[in-house]
Amino acid sequence: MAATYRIVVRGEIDDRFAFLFNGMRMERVEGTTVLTGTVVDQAQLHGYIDRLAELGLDLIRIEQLGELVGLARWASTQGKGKE
Amino acid sequence: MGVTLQTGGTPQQPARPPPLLMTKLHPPAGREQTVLRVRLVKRLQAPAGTKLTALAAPAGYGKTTLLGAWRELQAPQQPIGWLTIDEGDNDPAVLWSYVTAALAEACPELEARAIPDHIDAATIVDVVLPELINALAAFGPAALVLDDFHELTSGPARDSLAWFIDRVPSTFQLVIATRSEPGLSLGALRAHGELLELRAAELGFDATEATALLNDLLGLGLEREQVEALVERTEGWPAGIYLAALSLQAAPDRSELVSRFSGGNRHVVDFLVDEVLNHHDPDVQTLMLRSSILGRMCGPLCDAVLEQEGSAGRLRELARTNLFLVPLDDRGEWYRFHQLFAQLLRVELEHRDPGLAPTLHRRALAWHREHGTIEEALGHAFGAESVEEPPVRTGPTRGQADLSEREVVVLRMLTGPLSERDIGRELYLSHNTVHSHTRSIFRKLGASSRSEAIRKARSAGLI
Repeated sequence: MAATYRIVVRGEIDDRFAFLFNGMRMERVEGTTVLTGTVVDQAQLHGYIDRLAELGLDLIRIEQLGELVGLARWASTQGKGKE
Repeated sequence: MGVTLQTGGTPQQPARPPPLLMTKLHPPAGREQTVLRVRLVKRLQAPAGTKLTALAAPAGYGKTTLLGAWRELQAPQQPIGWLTIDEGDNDPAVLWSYVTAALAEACPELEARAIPDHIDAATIVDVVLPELINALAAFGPAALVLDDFHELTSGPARDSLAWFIDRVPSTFQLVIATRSEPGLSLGALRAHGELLELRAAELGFDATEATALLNDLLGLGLEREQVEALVERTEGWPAGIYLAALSLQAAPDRSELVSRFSGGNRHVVDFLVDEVLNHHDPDVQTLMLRSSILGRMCGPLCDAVLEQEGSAGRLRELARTNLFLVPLDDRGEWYRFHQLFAQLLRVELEHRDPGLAPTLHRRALAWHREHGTIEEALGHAFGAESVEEPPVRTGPTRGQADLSEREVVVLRMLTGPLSERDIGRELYLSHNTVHSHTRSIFRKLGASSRSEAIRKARSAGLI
């Protein structure tokens, strides 16, 4: 189910890495990086976790900020991950 | 990491069942720039009664390198079979065919029978494994390394392995290297003192090992405090320390780089990828960045993708000085980048040349078409369309099983020697996306294994 997620990892990484996470928004906060954006389904979320591990990034927190409904959900399935 | 690709340039028509890939039965060749980690090699001399030795740590902790070195040192005392697991081994018949082949290669006198094709999991546990256990008991001391064990997901293959571990003779040692929890009820083994575990904390470099790498092997001449700062900053992560070493090798002012690196908050990989790249000549940088879209590479393929000449020599030279470029054969022909490093290069490629990747995929596609390497050609066909993951639609109906176009592509690739992870790399999809395609294919075809899915799809004329 499409939803907005926030993923926090240890270490600051540059915006260029957003390319690996379909353009999730990245903010660097005191030695951590916060990724926020739409995740289409659980498979995609697990794919992102795999990528973080492949890059040697330690996961601090993952949380769902809200499920997408109506038009937002439709839009999230149109393959436009980038904002 | 798993090397599951055949290394010839010839077209491969997979037989049914797929032939055994001999590259799975050997560790990557030892390289000059690696440190012999004596304390860890000693730890691997497990006390009597140890049934399972588990190395569990993320990518870049040197698990494969350590086990390769241990195997070489142990060889005179004890034969040690080697098997690099991939996704295809989730079929019990495939897994045990490879295990038997790996053991037979290390212990030619072992009386183990070949595994019949298409044998079911119950027969393996009831008939094949008891025979194998008896043969191992009669044989005497032996060990088997299963590298990339995380590729085994829950299911009959892993269950049969758990059954096997419970019953192996005390002279036999099973050693696994895995990125995630192996799912083998370690708790019970631990409680009985039958488990030896080496985890990230222990597999990380200490200052002595870092000194051996940075100063003794690479001659960087760092002060003790500088080495300690690097170890602290990377938390001993060997891949991070090696990235730092590559940056330092060409840095004009090493102490400046060390202090800039250890002072900042940027993640190790983010900080170092620029440094590593910028110290190479521009043509080598271009080669590294642009060949990062390739699952494996040789000189002529890189020449085609870069539209220039001389890649073969540059690859050979780079492999001599960079452990992240892994040779796949001993002829110096085929290579692949370490997964972590390839990922960093792809990020950098997209940053420096946004939108170039599809063009590179198109050139790789043309080369593979010409050379008949079908699975890889298909992979680049996807990359050529778009580097982003297109939405999965229920595509045009193909036959009664109603596979989408993308599922047909994944299914065709599954007939070859690639693991799901390799296919993901080729198609520019995450491992999980490929896995969910595979699950969907299995569901639609009513198949429970890769070989069954391929069989059914072929008889239905879907592929």
